[in-house]
Amino acid sequence: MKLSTTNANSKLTMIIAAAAWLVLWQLCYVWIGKPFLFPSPLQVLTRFAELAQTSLFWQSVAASLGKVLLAFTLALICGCLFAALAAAIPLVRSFLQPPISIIRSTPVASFTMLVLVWVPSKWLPVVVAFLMVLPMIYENVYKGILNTDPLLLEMGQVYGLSWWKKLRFLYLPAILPFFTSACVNGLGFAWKSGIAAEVLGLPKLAIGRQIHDAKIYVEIPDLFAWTVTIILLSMLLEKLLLKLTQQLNRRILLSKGGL
Amino acid sequence: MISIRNISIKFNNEFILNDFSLDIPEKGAVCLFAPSGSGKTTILRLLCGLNQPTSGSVSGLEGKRLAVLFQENRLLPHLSALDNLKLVLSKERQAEAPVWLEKLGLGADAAKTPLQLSGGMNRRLAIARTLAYGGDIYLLDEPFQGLDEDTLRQTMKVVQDACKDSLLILVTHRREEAQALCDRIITLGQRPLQILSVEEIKK
Repeated sequence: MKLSTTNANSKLTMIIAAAAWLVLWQLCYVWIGKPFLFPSPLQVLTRFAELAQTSLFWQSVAASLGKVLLAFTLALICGCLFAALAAAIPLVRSFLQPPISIIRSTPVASFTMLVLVWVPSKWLPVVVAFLMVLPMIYENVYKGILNTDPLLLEMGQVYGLSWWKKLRFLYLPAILPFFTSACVNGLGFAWKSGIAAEVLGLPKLAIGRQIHDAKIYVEIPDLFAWTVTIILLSMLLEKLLLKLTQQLNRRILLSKGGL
Repeated sequence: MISIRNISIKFNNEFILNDFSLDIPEKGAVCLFAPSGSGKTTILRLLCGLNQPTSGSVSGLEGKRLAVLFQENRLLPHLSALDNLKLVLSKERQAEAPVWLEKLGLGADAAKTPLQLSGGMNRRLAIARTLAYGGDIYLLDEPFQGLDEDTLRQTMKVVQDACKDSLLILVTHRREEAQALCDRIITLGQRPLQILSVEEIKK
């Protein structure tokens, strides 16, 4: 009862805060007085509704979403694999450290331009988002593996636990909090870097392409509407991912599978 | 016979064992008795392969199954008491898990996790896990810490019964436990560990 009241209160606070920002936006719109440069919330909403009725909108959303999710999935697989190898073999850790550090500190724009030389613009968002998210997943999962309780690992060793039981019951519960946070941050980052790469690489069907075109033709309401689309999709993806990771947490911590 | 020959183990530039030798028979109950903090756990860790000596050798453990009880309980906090036992048992032996919980007075707490159990109950759960796993050699490090008088007596009896056909190596700093369970008490001195005396207990 108390929990549901707290939830309702926090939802109400969020709605009030969002409404306050919308009012502020509307006030700015009135103050600036140039609807073509700074549209009102209603104008943006109307344009968004119009765009949502076109096939171009859904094709662009599907293409961008598909590429970002593909990049994120690849980064997840490779990040976990590299982290496991680095934890098991110190030489692999030393070998991977320089490229991981370089990738982490390189701006998305520089990367996009470099990758564009070698990769067709269609696949640019996949490569860029993959490269941007890979270090995040790798570092977090690696930290999680190191975070595994050494006393429990010794217990596993003297009781001769199989590799599967060690992975399932000793390592995974320790890695899970790091993995979850890497996933949530990584997906947001994949989304942002993927769209940024689209804006620079201009593949035919993509949200980034639509943003670029809206800017070129000074269709500012379109620019706002596409930005709203990105924000909504990002929020939706984050919510879905949180649900998925919660389920994964429950499965790993509470289920007895593997015993 | 298990032979520890001229073993040296060093931690942080300090010898815990220096040219240490000890023979332990294959059956019976032997106590390594020493004040706490003297490093007697190192001998158990050496026997179960968790500590590697800088010199010396250990023989007589080839092909032997070791059941180890650590000084810390080392239970999995998210698994139930029953599952903590099942974890170390093969599929064919998992049916034995509830029997061991029952023997250690934890039958009614099988579904509880270590976080829901008291310190003494967790200790008994760790003992149950070691006994359920079973072996030719039982290595028990301060097994009865945190147990009250009543449960201590019952737990000692269960341990004694479980280990009667095997070798029990008990590490403790409490003389009454050593005398109640073991037929030989090896008293060790301060670091580096040395054998001060070997006492046979007549029962």
